[in-house]
Amino acid sequence: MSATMRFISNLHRISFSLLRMQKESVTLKKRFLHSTSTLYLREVIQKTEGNVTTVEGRMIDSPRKDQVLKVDDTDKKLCPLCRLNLDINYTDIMIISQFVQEDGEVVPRQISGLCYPQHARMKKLIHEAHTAGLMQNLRPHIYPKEYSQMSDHAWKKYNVYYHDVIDD
Amino acid sequence: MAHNRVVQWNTMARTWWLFDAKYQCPLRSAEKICMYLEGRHKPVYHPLSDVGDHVVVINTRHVAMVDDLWRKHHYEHDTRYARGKSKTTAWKLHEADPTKIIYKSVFRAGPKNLLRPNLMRRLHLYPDEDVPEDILGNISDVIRQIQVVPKTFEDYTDEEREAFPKLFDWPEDHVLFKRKTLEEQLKEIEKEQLAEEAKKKK
Repeated sequence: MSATMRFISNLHRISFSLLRMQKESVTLKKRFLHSTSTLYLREVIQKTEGNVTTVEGRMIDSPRKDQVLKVDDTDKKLCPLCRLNLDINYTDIMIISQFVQEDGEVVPRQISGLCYPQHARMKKLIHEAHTAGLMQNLRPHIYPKEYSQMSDHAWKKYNVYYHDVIDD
Repeated sequence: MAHNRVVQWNTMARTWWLFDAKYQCPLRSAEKICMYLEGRHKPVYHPLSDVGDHVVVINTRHVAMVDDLWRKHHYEHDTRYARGKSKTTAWKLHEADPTKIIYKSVFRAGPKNLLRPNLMRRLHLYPDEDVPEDILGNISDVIRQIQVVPKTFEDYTDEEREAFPKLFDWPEDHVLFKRKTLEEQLKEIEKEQLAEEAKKKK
């Protein structure tokens, strides 16, 4: 084995052992007791009064508890969109806006529970709805000027539609 | 007897139509507009008899193109002099003259003969809803839009949005993000700018 290969294998061995040590320390910390319950929906509120800033994590009931669509689940456990068997266009904003977070980002797959193909389809539909200008209030936040996530090219002022959908 | 005379006047009259081009495809709407300009919507139509109507098109600035075509489609022009060929992208042409794209699409959809310039003279294009009064007074009928104008998120009321059934519920241990209002965001930006100016002065 050459000198470089030996060096690389040693590096890997050291880095893995370091990682293992870190994990052990984390598990040790996790064994501490909690005073409040950890599994609860919460919102973070930040207030500044003079010199003091208070960051509060308030536990709340989910605002959409009673509104989730109930479908008779057969033996197959399908994702929320597959079990409804819908044909969604980019103009169905009531459905698409549910998969966009308040900060303008797409809801991750682990949270929404969609299967991979439906998640990919939803990302494309969200992009189409944004370019068609249908969800003005759900765009990402205003970033500082140095690294703006939203380009302001001149052609973006003009209206856009997508082919398959709109035919009267 | 008099009634038949009036009926004849009505069939031979040149009506003025209104078309709203907001969120419409220019190519597809041009085909419909051309039908009315030539007179093909009338049972008395003949290509050589001059039975076409006037069409007033408003909101040409708010025409919609497919997907990436604003950036990718090029309109060609040739002055017939040396080095007279040029290409401009659709958005650049639209910036310079917001009525030109519909003019070109109607010209392309019209009959390819010497009657076409006569048709184009009966087409009246306005980028916004500002139409002169003497032309507005002539308009008597409306051409239906081809494409359905989509409803935006803001067009729905808060109650409709809340009443709509949800497809999934937030999991446990999830943190809800609260969007700051525009005013709060602008205040923060102002504070940052003041802090920067204070630093520069020092």
